[in-house]
Amino acid sequence: MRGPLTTALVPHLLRLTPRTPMALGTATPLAVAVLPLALSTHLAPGDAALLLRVAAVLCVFPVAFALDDPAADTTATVPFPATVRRLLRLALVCVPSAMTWTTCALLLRAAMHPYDRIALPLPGLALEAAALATATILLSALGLRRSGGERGSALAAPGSVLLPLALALSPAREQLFAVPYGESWHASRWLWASALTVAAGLTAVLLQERPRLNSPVSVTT
Amino acid sequence: MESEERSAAQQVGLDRVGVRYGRRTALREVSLSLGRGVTGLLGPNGAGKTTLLRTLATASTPDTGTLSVLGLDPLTPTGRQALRRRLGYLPQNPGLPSHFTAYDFIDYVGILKEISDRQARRTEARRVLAEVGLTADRGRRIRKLSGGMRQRVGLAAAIVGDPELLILDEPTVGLDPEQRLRFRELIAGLGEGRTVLLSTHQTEDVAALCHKVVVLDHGTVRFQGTPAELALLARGRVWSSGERAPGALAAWRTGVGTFRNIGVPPTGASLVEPTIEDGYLLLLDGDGDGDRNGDGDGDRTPADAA
Amino acid sequence: MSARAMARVESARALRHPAFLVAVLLYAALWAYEAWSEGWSGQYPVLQDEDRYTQVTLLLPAVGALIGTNLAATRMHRHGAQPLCEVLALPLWRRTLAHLAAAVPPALVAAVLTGARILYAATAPTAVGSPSPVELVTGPVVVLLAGCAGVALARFTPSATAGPFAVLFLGALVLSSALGARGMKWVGPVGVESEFAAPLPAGLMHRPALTHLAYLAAVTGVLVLLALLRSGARPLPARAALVLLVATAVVTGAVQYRPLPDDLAARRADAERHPGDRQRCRVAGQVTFCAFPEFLNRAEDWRRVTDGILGRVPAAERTGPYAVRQRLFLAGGGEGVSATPPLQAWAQDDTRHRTPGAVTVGTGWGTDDIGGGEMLSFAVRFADRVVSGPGREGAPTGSMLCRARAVTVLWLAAQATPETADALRSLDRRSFGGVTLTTLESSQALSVSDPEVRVVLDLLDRPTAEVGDRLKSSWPALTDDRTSTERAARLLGVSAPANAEQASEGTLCAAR
Repeated sequence: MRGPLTTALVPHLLRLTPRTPMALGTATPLAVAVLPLALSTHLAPGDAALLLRVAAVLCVFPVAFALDDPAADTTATVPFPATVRRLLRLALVCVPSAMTWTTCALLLRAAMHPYDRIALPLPGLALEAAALATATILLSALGLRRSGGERGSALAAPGSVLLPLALALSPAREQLFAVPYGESWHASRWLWASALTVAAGLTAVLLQERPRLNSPVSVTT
Repeated sequence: MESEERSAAQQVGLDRVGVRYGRRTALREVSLSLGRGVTGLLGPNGAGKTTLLRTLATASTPDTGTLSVLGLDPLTPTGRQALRRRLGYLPQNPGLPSHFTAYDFIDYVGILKEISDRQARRTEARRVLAEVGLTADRGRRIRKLSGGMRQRVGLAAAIVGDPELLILDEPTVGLDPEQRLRFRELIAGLGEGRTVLLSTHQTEDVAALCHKVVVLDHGTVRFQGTPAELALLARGRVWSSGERAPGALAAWRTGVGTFRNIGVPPTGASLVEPTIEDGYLLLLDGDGDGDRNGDGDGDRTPADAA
Repeated sequence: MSARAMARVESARALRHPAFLVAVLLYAALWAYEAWSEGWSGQYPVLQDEDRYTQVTLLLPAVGALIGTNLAATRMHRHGAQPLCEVLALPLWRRTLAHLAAAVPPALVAAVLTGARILYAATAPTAVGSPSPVELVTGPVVVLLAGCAGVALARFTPSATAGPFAVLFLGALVLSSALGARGMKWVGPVGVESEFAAPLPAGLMHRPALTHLAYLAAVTGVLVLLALLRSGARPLPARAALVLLVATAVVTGAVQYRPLPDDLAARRADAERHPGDRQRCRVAGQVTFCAFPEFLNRAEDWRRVTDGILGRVPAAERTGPYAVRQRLFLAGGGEGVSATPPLQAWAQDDTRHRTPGAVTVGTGWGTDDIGGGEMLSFAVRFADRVVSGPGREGAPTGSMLCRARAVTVLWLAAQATPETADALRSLDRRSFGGVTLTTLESSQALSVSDPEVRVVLDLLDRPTAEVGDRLKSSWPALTDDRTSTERAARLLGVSAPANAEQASEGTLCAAR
C-alpha cells in the first residue's frame, strides 16, 4: 500500500521543495564550472579540483532547506511515517544536487587538457561532496529537533557555509583538502569517509520520528 | 455487550499522566475518562490544555502515567500507528505551506492519511472543504486566504478520513460569528458517534456543543462534569447591579448596561442564574479550588458549592 | 529614544545569536588547535604579515555577524508579525538604524580578538617586525561590513536563503583573491597575498592597506544607506550621500590597483642588490650576522643553526670568520623558469661591507614546509661554506653536492637543530630522487642525490655525538667529494644503499 501512496506523495513533496535555494544551488555552481570552458582556459588538475570543491559547497546549499516543513505540526499525527517522508524529501533534493555536481565535474574536466584529466580524481572529490552534504543533512536534522520539525534550515543554512569556511581556515586544511594524488591524498580520503560515516549514522538516528516532548513554541532567533 | 464494547473502545482514558518541560510541570498526574460526544477543555493560558491535546493526539509522549485511546496504547509504536489511522488533529495555529492551494493541501493530507485511491481522495477532499465552507476557495493559494479561511483549511485537514477521534486545539480562533455557528453545527454532527475533544476560551462554544467539560489549571484537573454542573458552582454567587461592586471577585458590564458580579453577594442583591463562564471564573479564583478533600484530583461538584 | 533602546536590545541579541557565537567558538577552536599543534617554539611570526593574517580568520565571525543580523532584521516577517510592525510608532527606517547599530558589537568583539591574536604573536620570543594598525583595523571593519550587509539584504528580501548565499558570494570573492584571479585581489573584503612569497621589511611592502580600508568603509556606508533608503528614510539627503559613497567606493576600489610606485620599485631593487647599505650587523663568536633592522632578532635563531654546525667541525677546520647576510630575491618563487639572483652584486656588496663570502639567509623562517625549507637551505649553505673553507668565497660554483661531501654537508646541516632535522625529513617525503635546496627560490640550488639523503637520514637516527666524533676523526676523507658514499657511510658507522654509486652516473657528480 505504501508504494501507491509514495508515488502520489511525490508531486506534493516536490511542491514543498524549496525553490529559491534549488535555483541558486543549480545556477551558481554551473556558472562556476562553465566559466573556464567559456574563457577557453586550460585548467590544471589542482585548479580544477579547487573549482569542483567550490561547486560542491554551492551544490550542497539547497540540501540545508530540504527538510523544512511549515506544516510539520499540522501533519504530525498522520499514519504515514515521518521518517519515510523525510527520506523522500531528501532524495528529491539530493538527486538533483548530485546531478548538478556531476555536470560541474564533467564541465571542469572538459576544460582540462586531455592528458591531465586522469589526474582529476572524481570519486575522491565526490566523497568530499557527499560528506559535506551528509553533514548539512545532520545539521538540518538537529535543527528540526529544535524547531518542532519545521525549520531545519535555521541550523543547516548557516552551518553549510560556516563548516566549509572553518575547514578551509583550519591548520589541517592541507590534510583535508589535499592535492589530488599528493602526499596526503589517500589519508585524507579516509578522513572524509570516516566523517561521512559518522554523519550518516547520527543523521539516521536523528531523522527517526521520536515523539519526544518538545515545547510547542518554536525557537525565535 | 457489543455496544458496551464499542462504547468502551471509543473512550479516552488517562491515568496519572504527567508531563514536564525541563523544570516546568505542564501536566500534573492528570486522570480523565472521556466517552463519545463532544468534550470541552477549558483553562487559562499555560494551564496545560495544548500539552494534554498533543499527548492524546500522539504528537508527544508523557513522562509518567498511562493512556488508553480508542482501546489502543499510544505509547507503543503499533498502538500509535493504529491510533493515527483513526484520529484527526488540529493544532493551535496550524502551519500550512503557503504556496499550496487549499485543495492541494487537503489532497496531500489525504495521502498522508493513507487514502491511496485518487478518486476517493478527490471525493474526500471536496467533502471536507464543503463541510468547512471552502468549496469556492479550494483553488486559491493558502497565502491568499484570510486567517479564518486558513483555520478552516486546518480544520478540513483534521476531518479528512472521517476520524473516530477528533482533537481540536482552539478551533474557532479567527472565525467570524457566522462561521463559528457553522462550526458548531459541524462539530455537533461529528460528535454523534465520535469522540471529540476541543479546547477553547469561548465558554459559549462549550455551552452550545459540549456534553462534558474539563477545566485544567496549572496542569491539574480542577473540574470535570457537565456544563450545567460547572455553571451550578456559581449558584448563589452571581448578581446583577447598576454599578461595579467593589468587593466582587469579578465584575463586568453586560450588553444591556448593567454589571454582572461574581462573589459573595451583598445584602439585598438580586441574584441571577449563573452561566458556565461564572462557574469557570469562580473555580479559578483562589478560594474556590474545587478540591473537597485536598487530594488534588479536582472533584468539585455542585454539592460542594452548597 | 526608542530607537536607541531598540539598538541596545538588538545589540545584545546580536552578540548572543547562535550563528555569531558558533562562529566565534570555531575561531577560538582553530586558534587553540594552531597554538597547540605548533607550540610556542614552533612559531616565528613576522608581525607585518601576521597583521593581515588576522583578517582572514575574522571571516568566521563576519559570517556569523552577517547571518545573525540578517535573521534579526527578518525576524518579524519570518514569524508572521509583519502586520504588527506596519502600525508601529517607530518608523521602519529608525528600526533599520537600530539593526545597523547592532552590527557594531560583533565588530568590537572582532577588534578584541584581533588585539588578542596580534598580542599573542608579538609576545612570541621569536617575533620580528611590527604590525600595521591599518591592517589590524581592517578585520573588524570587515565584520562590521558583513553585519551591515545582513541588514541591507533583509530590506531587499526576507528570504532565509539570502544571508547564507551572500556568505557564499563573499567567500567566492575571497577565493578569487586568493587564487590571484586578474582584477579580483582587492574587490572582496580581504586582499590575500601569496603564502609562498617571502616576508619583506615593512618599508618595502606594497599593500594598499589604507586605500582598501577606505574602500571597505565606503562599501559599508553604501550598504547602510541602501538599507535606510529601502526602509523609507528621507530620500534626498540619503540619496546624495549614497551617490557620494558609491563614487568613493569606485575611486578607492580603482586606486587599490595602482602599480608599484617607481620610488618603491627603486628601493626594492637597491635593497635586493645592496642589502648591506640598509642592514645592521651583530657578531656572535666566529660569525657576523647582518640583517634588515626589524629582522635582526632572527640572528639568535640563525646562530643556533651555525653553532650547531660549527660544534661538529674540528677546531682546526673552523677557518672563520664567517658571515651570514640576509638577502631578498624578489623574483624568487614565481611560476615558470626560476630566475638567477644578482650574485655578482651580492659579492661586491659583501666586499664593500667587509663580509666576504657571506652565506645567504632569507626573510622566511619557520617549521612549516616553506619556512622549514628555508631553514634547511640556509643550514646547508652554511655547512657547505664551512666544509669548503676559505677558498669558496663568493658564489658556489657547483649545484650538486657529491658523495662523501654531500653526506657530510647534509648531515652537518640537518643535525644542527631539531627543526632542521624535521625539515629534512619533511622535504624528503615531498621529494623524489633526492632533495634540492634553492637559494631564495632562485635558480641557484644545491642538490643531493637519494643515496646520500638515505645515509644522512640513517645518521640522524644515531646518537649525534657518536657520529660527530667519527666525522671529526675522518674529516679529510669525509669532506672529499671523491670519497664514495659507501665508504663515507662505513666511516660514519652506517651502511649505504646498494645503488649508491650507480645513482651518481649521468649526474654532475659523475664528472668529479
